Amino acid sequence: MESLLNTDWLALAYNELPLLLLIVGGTLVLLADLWWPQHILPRWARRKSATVDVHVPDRTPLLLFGMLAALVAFIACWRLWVQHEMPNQMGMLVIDRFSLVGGMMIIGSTIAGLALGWGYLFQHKLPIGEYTVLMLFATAGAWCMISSANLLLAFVGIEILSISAYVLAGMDTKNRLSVESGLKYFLLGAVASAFLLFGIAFFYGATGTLSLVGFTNDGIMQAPTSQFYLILGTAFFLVGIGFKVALAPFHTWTPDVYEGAPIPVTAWFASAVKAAAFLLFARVMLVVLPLMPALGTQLIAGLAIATMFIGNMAALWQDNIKRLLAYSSIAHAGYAALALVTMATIPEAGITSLLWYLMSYSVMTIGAFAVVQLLGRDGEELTSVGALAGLGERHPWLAACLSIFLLSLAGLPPTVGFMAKYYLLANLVAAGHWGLTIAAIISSLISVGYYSYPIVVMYFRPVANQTPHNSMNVGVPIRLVIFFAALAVLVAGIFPDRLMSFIQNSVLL
Amino acid sequence: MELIIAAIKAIVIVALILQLIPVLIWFERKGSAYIQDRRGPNRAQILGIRLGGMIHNLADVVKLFCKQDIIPTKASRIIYVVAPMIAIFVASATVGVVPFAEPLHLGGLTIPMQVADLNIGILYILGIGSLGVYGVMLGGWSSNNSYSLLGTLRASAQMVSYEIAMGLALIGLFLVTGTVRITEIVSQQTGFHWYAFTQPIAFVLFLTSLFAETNRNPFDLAEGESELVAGFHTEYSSMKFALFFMAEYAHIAVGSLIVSLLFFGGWNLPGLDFDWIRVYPEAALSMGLPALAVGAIAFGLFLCSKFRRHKYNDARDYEVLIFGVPHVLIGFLMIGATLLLHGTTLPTWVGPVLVAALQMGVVLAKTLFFCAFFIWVRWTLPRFRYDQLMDLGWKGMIPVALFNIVITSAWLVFVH
Amino acid sequence: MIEAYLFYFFAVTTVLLAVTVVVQPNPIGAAVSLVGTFFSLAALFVLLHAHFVAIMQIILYAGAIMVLFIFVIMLLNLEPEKVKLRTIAGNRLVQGSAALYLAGVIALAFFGWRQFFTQGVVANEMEGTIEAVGKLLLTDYLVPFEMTSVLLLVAIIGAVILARKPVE
Repeated sequence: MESLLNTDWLALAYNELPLLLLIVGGTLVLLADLWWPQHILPRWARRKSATVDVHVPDRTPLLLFGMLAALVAFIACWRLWVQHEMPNQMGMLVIDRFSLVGGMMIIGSTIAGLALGWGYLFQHKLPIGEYTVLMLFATAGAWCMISSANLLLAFVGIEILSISAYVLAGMDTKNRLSVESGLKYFLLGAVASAFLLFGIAFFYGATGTLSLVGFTNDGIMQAPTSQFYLILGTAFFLVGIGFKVALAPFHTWTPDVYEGAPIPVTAWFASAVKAAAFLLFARVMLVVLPLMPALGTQLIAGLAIATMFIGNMAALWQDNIKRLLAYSSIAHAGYAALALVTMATIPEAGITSLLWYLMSYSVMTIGAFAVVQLLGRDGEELTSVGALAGLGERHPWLAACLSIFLLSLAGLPPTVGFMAKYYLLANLVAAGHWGLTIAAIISSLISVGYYSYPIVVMYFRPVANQTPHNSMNVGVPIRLVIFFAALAVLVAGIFPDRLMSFIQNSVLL
Repeated sequence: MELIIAAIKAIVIVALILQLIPVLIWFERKGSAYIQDRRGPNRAQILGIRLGGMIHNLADVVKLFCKQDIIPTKASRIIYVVAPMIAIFVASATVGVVPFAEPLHLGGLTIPMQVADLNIGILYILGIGSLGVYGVMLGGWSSNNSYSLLGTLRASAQMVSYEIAMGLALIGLFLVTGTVRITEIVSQQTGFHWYAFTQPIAFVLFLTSLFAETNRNPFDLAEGESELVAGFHTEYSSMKFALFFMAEYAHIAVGSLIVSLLFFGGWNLPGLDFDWIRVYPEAALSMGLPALAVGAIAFGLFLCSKFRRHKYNDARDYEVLIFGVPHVLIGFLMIGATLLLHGTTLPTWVGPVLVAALQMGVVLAKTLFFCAFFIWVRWTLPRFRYDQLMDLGWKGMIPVALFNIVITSAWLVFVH
Repeated sequence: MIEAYLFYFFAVTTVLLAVTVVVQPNPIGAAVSLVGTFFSLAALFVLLHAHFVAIMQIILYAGAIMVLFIFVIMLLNLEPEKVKLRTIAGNRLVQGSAALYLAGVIALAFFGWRQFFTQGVVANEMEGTIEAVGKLLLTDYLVPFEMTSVLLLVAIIGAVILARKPVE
């Protein structure tokens, strides 16, 4: 009882305000969804009218409420960022600027994901309330992953995020592809979780603690036995987390899942889920790598090279734009893994380049998916690259935005993608990994091939059959998302200093 | 030494439960007969003595042993054979942590009146009890019979659902008791502080879900003889059937035992001060024995007065005497014992043993009361429909149990 | 002494039953073996004096989860011959590469640190009583404990979304 009372609950609640806000917001949306009116017409009117009441009430306002909750959580993160110069650990949660920046990144992606659902969900007859709830809860899970000082809590966070992700992927039960993607993601993800858990168990065997803080200053650490367990744990952990972030031999689920899932969900997968998994990866490697620098670096470097090349090569043959972006997401996971390699020698630079890279990747991939979603018509998603033909004439602004995003993904100046890649590779060179740098540059060059393909189609391929311009999925929020993403890509690409110093301020190890 | 004592206790307790089964079966037959205004079984006899239908149990045992033991050709043999064993194992293993009286202090030796006093107490009962569903499930599935399978599906869904309500009801109780050890829970219920009165909602919920867990009417859809032939044990015959049958009654006995311990004060009875009896067994005996003797003699004489020489013109005429005369004799023996006791001091072990015996008697009396309640309910209420059953479990009992938890904890925090 | 024998008995039983789960062609048989595995695991926990964990293992896994498993198997009425292997595209590749990777790392570690097999790891003595577990859950492990309830809520919502009829 005493220890229960000794905890400063108010301080804990204040420091975990973003987490609490996300959970409370999700619960409120759940309740609102429950009590939302079932019919538009009142009961007497429904009886009289001969036509069956086909018009279900639009639950889209729930999305707005979800965005609001996420926005408040975002602001809370910002407030905490301003207040916390130094890391602050409370129980199993650690509040430092690294996790706060990560939190802002993920919450931002969630806001964008919710905004993309506007209109789309109603058109595709997807459950809006549950979509919002799952996104908010998953974000809370991601928060637990990135700000956890304990692997146990991190695992619970991973599971919350993953289970929400499985359901979101398979949400469109009328669409076979969506069901397939949900099932594949679930089955493979469950195996990956098992690997992850095994890894954590071996870490416990090696160190006798699950706390990431107590990991290093433990006397048992240096004994050969625990070294064995440590390597075993790292191996299992790499398999598990490699699945979650889609590193090369464990990436095979990505194209199918990204293709099958509804587009807003896919955009959110590529940004929030990936970022959360990477930040956890970084947090764990930050304590594990110093204990086994050579082997750990080699393992990650190997995975990174394989990922970059497999992702980029496979993308060259894609004709489906969602699959193309999925392979691009695999390739980018490879680049981001390079930041972890840097981390082994110069931790601060590595973390900075990782945050910078993830942030820019999130923005540009959300933008690209948003444009693709906007082009879908009549409840059908636009999938083939060929359908983009003539877009440059029909919708010059949209085409321009998509081009910007694709160029940024390819890493060409003056976009943020270039800055991120430049900073990443510069740090890699500083860490002395010349070979890796060259490999990254080569694979980057390969990637230009497939990123330019949709651009060429948009502007230079003649329109084969003149299909009438049906109305597009109009929605203000999605246009706002595209606008802000494009703006961010350009501004941060041309004037990166402020953002850069913001991130550098966040990494105080 | 400890192992031997534990083994003896285990055997005694399991034997006790097994001995309760024929009594319950007789109880059920006679009870149903009285409720339906008929006489019930009264034909089986040994040398003309029928003992009010008790002999039927003996006849049933002989019949079940002699019946052909059939295993259907398409059944999965191993599971088919194991299923009844699981059923009876679960029913008798649950008694392992049930205390029948306070620990017995004999000289330097302390003997808990239960097989094992586990820290997890009642959770053990919940855990082992939750395995009971396997007997039903596997039995029904392995017989490869549609009726059995239907009964099995119903039974498993029902048992899993009501287990939740049962656990939640118990949480409300645990909030008040602060422990899950059954001995401690019982010792808190001195006088009239029975938890049936302080936790009425939990009590009603627990009792109801106990009916469902034992597959008794009004929750006996697993058997549902009017729909499913005999439900999950349609294909079973001979002793395998008997094991299922015994398991059902053992479940009732154990369930009643648990209810009387958790909610009805266990061995506590208002007016009985065990500490006093333990110290002054002579005084207790000299007051208690005459009262008992008067009761026994009165009952014996009442039975004897029913004796009519030529009522049936066979051995049945003497049945009332067979019961009545021993009662009178025992009554006189008790009076004699009281006179002998007068002025003597008894050895020190008498007190504790007397207390233990009394406590066991109280517990058993309460248990039998609940067994009678089970039987009473079965022959009074109609059977639920399946959707009603599920609605009651999920939409009725679970929310009420949660409500009980909230109310109880609020009371504990703000009032207590 | 007797504890050691019991440990070996239950350890061997656990492993044997676990193997049975994998090789048993009959789904019900496999599920029943899994129940047996959980039961003997619970016995191992009892031998470690972790009574609470043991009984939770039985109540949750053997008593609830596996009942639902068997329930579903019965509803689907899966017979041994109806269960066929289905493969996911790229399955082999994933399996092969993951297995090779792991085998490589384990071999590497094994040859580097042979002493592993001569040393043991000292486990913390911990009380497995309800009081101890309860106190830990509501103090040190409060956040994971509460987040687990969020996890379960998410799982329930997910199951409802996927299982209900599509909105028309």
